[in-house]
Amino acid sequence: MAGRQLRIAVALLAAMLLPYFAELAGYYRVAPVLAYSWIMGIYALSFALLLGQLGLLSFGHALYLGFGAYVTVYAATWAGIPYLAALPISMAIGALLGLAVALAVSRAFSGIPFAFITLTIQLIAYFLYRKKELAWLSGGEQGLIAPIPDFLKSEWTGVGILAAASVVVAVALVTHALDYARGRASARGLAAAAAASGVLLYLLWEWIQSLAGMPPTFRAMRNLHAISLLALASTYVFMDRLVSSPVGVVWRAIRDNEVRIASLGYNVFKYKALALAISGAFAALAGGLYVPYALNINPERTLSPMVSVYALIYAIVGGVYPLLGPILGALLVGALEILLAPYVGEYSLVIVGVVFIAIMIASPGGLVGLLSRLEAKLKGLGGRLGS
Amino acid sequence: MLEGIPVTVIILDGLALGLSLFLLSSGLAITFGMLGVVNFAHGSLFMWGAYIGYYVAAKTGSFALGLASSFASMALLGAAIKLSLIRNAHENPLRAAMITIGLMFLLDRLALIIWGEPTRMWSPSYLEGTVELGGVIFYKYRLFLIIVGALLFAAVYAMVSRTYFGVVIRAGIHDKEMVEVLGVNFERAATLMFMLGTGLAGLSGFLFVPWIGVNPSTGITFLLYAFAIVVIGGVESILGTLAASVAVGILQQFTMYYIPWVTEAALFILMLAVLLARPSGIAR
Repeated sequence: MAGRQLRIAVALLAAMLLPYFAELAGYYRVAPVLAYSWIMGIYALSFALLLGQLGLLSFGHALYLGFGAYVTVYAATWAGIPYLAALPISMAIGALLGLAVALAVSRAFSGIPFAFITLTIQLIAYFLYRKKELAWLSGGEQGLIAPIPDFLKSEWTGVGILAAASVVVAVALVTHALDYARGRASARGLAAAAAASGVLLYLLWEWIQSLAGMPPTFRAMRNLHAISLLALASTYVFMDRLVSSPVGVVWRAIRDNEVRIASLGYNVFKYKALALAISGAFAALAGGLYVPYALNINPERTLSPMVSVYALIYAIVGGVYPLLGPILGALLVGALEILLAPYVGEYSLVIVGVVFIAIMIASPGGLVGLLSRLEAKLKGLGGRLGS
Repeated sequence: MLEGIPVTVIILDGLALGLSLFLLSSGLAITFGMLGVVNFAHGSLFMWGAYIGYYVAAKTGSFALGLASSFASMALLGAAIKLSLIRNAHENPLRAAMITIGLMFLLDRLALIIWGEPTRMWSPSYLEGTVELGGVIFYKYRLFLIIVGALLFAAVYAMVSRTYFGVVIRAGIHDKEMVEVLGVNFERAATLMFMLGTGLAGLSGFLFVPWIGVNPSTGITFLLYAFAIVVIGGVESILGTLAASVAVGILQQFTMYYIPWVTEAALFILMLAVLLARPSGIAR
């Protein structure tokens, strides 16, 4: 079981290079599709944190994504704040919204009432933002146009991405080397990982150099893909740490038996509010990253009930826990829609719906649950064959 | 600016809307009360019933056949949903709710593919136009809706308050275990009630076809109306649902005439206020 960190780092590099490989093979539409999948992966993670850890169905989850997107646009157009600085502001607003919702639902912080209250809050925002009377704030049904941030168009962003990827790989390699020095990891694994990451880093460098000569809008989407992927990886690592920390243990204990945990002296409300704030912050981050992807932010795309339904679909199809589930769900649903579209046309979304219901009934653990059950079966089989 | 429209007309329009909304919401409220299950596909069944009734009525030219087919088809679909997808719904209400969310997604997408975006309307010629009552002009169809809505409310009310089936339903909302202990087949009553509710949803969908028409997005719009009514009216009594329906209908008409841009927001702010003040009304 050597080097989980190292495996994440190598997977990150490989995923980052996917558009490069695809372009070498002649497919040029891959970067935007991937960027969208990574962004929705963050969104799905933020939703699954509540459903998986606390059993809270946040059915108004589009609220955080929507305001994350709008605040990012406001920061750029009203205050002239650069894009990279606008993202943390959006996250802070998302966290505050999460806290506000937590305070509002404090008397009905579970089950169907929670789902209803969050849905209602989102609906109020959605219907108000659609109206032309609020167009000065929301742009009405047409929404707001956001220019491509200079940050994404810049030739230097690629260098920054390369540096960030190098740091991730270096940290993982050093950690693994220390493990090796303590005799807890194999030299072969370390050497293989070092070679793989070296090759991948070199390819990344090649790709980024080739991007420098491209038109800025072309470069912007590729940079967005890489930035969103880094953001997704950070979100994943952060949440993974969080759910395995004592806080995560209390969360799951609350999910399983709230009354008991309260009687043990834990402040259940504070734990739930914390989860809501964290979830809101990351959903808002997804919203902020969605802005340069869509370039046109309107209530239908960011605040509508359908956006909330999608969070649920991603999380259920992939599985809410382990955290790879929601990411897998976002990737798979996106891929399913795109791959099926040439053959079945509009029916691809119907198939997504059928898959959702089938998984809901047959495998409540989602795809990840299905895979781990399969793995266990295979292992059992292997054990029996070996004996 | 709209001084030409007398308040009586607004109130009667609100009454017509409210009574039609009662038909949509009563099944949702009772099923929720009995099983603790929220059917998120309720609005989609409303919309599908509207389409089926529309096609039957447009083909045959008979309004009554349209009504019958919208009711029967959605009652059957409701039975299929209850018996297959959410069979053991009360054991895990949240899971059942999520399944119906998937169903809503599915049915809305299918409707969009099959029927496209344009709004369809149809009305029988004898219900078109206006009538003058005491110097005020009303639409014939909205008066008709008030009469039909009142009759159907009376029927539902009589069923719930006067029949054995109604006793089982009311007892089931109150204490499900006790009903089962007494040897009553509670599940069968709940399934019948679910069918009746989805049938009435389809019927009310068709009743809206001559007034506002039907398109694939009416499903979610009216689901939200029904949610608001269930929350405001509670699930304990059919009269509560009626009062909430009429209140919502009249509120909608007034805001639509005087401050149209807060029409939906006003409804959901009211819903939120009730939810926050009395979450137990919905928490069962």
